[in-house]
Amino acid sequence: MEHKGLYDIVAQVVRERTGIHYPESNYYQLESRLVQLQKFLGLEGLGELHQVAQKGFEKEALAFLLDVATNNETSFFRDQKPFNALKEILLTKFADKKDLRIWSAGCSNGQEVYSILMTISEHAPQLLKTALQIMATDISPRVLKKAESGIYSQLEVQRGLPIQMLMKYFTQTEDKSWAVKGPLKTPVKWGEFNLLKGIFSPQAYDIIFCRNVLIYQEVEKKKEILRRFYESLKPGGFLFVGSSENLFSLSEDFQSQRIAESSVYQKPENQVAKAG
Amino acid sequence: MKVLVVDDSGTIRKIVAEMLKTTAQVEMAENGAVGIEFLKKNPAVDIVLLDWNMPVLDGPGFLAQIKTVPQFTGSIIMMTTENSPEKIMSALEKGAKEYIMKPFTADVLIDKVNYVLEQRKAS
Repeated sequence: MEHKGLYDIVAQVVRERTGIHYPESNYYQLESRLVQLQKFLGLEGLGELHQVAQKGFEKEALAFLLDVATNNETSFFRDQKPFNALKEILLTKFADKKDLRIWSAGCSNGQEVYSILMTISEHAPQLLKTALQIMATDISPRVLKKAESGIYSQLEVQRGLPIQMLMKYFTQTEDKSWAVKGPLKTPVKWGEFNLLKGIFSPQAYDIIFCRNVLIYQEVEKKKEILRRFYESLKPGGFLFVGSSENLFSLSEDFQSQRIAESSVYQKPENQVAKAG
Repeated sequence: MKVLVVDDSGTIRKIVAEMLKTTAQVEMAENGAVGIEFLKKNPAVDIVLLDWNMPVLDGPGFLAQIKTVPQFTGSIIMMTTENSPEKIMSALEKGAKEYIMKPFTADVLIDKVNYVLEQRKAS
């Protein structure tokens, strides 16, 4: 392939900084991202970008690269079924909870966070009035800014969001974008967080969403992050991973459960002390 | 699955037919009146994709008149450049089940069509 050396450098930088592993067979996934970076830096082509990469990326270029390398397309109610499972869990386990705490780890542009909030508002609105707190984190400050703004283009709000929900929870802005209504944003705290380097709060959350984030990590790092998620969950708490992901051979701590046609992982209520 | 596209733009009819060709049998009508006549003769349509602004009979006119065709039991999805909340609400109140704002992409169209079909199955 052309400019393979460039891909090698970029893959290594991304891996060192984020743990996200692009093997050679997945280099094609980097192509459009490298073109974005090249345009961002005002360079003529990938050849020029290669020269820059060989000298080492400057801070700004590096931030941009990590940003595009970790940013994935997403939609509201992505995969739908996990949100049916969330509804079940809210109704059967947490309906009377006084302090429900949820963490969206790798919240990207925020669609997952607002989908969680709309699910709560539709099926367990009493929880919005109690001390519901949602921690929404991502490694990328750019996507966090967008997520926190709660403003989406006309095309974005048509991905996965039923029209009735759009009417109920969004207002149209002057430039014909759509903004999440204020009350839905109140319970959310936004913050930058690197899953490999951040300090996890022990037994802090009832539910953790980390969907389609670990897929790019290497096995050992997946195991480590899952171990930390386990510690961050309260006993009886739930972990949601992506629909195409599972914890097979990665963690034996969680109890796998089938809820509303979705696999959800629960930290046991009564923890048995483990030898070793 | 059978879909009827009611839109006065030949380009839109063609694009939508192309986007749906692997999932549906697509029929076309160039305005609301032609659409109503088609459904009187062929009521077994699952989804109608309905434009707002058309000559002869527009989208809201179609929503009013379709009530006189009880043999049609499918669902109507608006597909229009009209994107104000007031217009959207009025179409939903008149019986449209979903709403696609132009311009849109194939994934949005297919997603909305599937969503409406699932809702129908569930109810």
